[in-house]
Amino acid sequence: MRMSEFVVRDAIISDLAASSKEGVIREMVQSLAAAGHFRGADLEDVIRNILRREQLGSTGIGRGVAIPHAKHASVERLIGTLAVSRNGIAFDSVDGDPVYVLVMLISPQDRPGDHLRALENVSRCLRDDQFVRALRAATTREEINALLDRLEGHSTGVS
Amino acid sequence: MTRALMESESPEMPVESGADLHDSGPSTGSVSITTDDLSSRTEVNMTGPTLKRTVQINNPGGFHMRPKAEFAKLAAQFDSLVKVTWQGWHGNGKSMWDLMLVSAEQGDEVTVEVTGHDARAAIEALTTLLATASLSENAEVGLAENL
Repeated sequence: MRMSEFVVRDAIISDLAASSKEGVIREMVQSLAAAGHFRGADLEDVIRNILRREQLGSTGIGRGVAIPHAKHASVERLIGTLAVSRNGIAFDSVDGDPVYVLVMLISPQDRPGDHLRALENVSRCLRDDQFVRALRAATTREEINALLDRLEGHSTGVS
Repeated sequence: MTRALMESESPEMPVESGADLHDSGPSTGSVSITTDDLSSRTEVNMTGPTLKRTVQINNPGGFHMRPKAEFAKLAAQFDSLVKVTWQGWHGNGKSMWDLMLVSAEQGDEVTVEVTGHDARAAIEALTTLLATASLSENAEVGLAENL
């Protein structure tokens, strides 16, 4: 499962307003909801699942990136989004540094293989410092879309 | 439950002292590095056996992110070099970034290879961790739909 396939393009945030870990997670899930992906009570439940997962151990894996994720019964296929913070978020990352780029993944309950491979794909992309720098330099959703398309040679996105 | 499918050990190499940069051979795991500085000499010696063990992943969720973080943290506590191999790929077991590329699912085999003076303790601890990472993330957070 490639990032360019599962990222909901309409939910990409090029300039996060929130400044806390919980705040940005909430903002990203709300963005997915606005793009049509969660209804009512599911929204709060998804946020809760992601925050609980963070309590088990930060998904801030260093180098300014984080991969918050959870499984949830309301999604039929793996979806996600990408967000950039200009000022950085304290995320309790393994290297102690703030997080500037977040890729969120929400998976169905019963497909552990897809979930693992998606996390692998995201890590592979975010390992590339040039790609991360380009994301941080992007000022609009359209620019980030274009970076995702170029990344894996895709010309169409998911909306 | 751990299934140790294969374990191998290579002999410990003698400690060497001296001013030369010395390479004992391709798979012995003995590296002696000396910096020749007028005011001081430091010799770093990572001498020790190489131990290798293959473990089958039992967790229905596979080798997911939380056990990867625990593995990297545990591996970093040992002086030994830690190498992880899965489906022909290998990387540094102390690096979360490398471990993120190991998408081992339930039933897959992962090989851990350690080299150094504390290799025995390291191989035991790391393979036990791999084999007993049996709880899914969802079970741990107590979500009702997963019970």
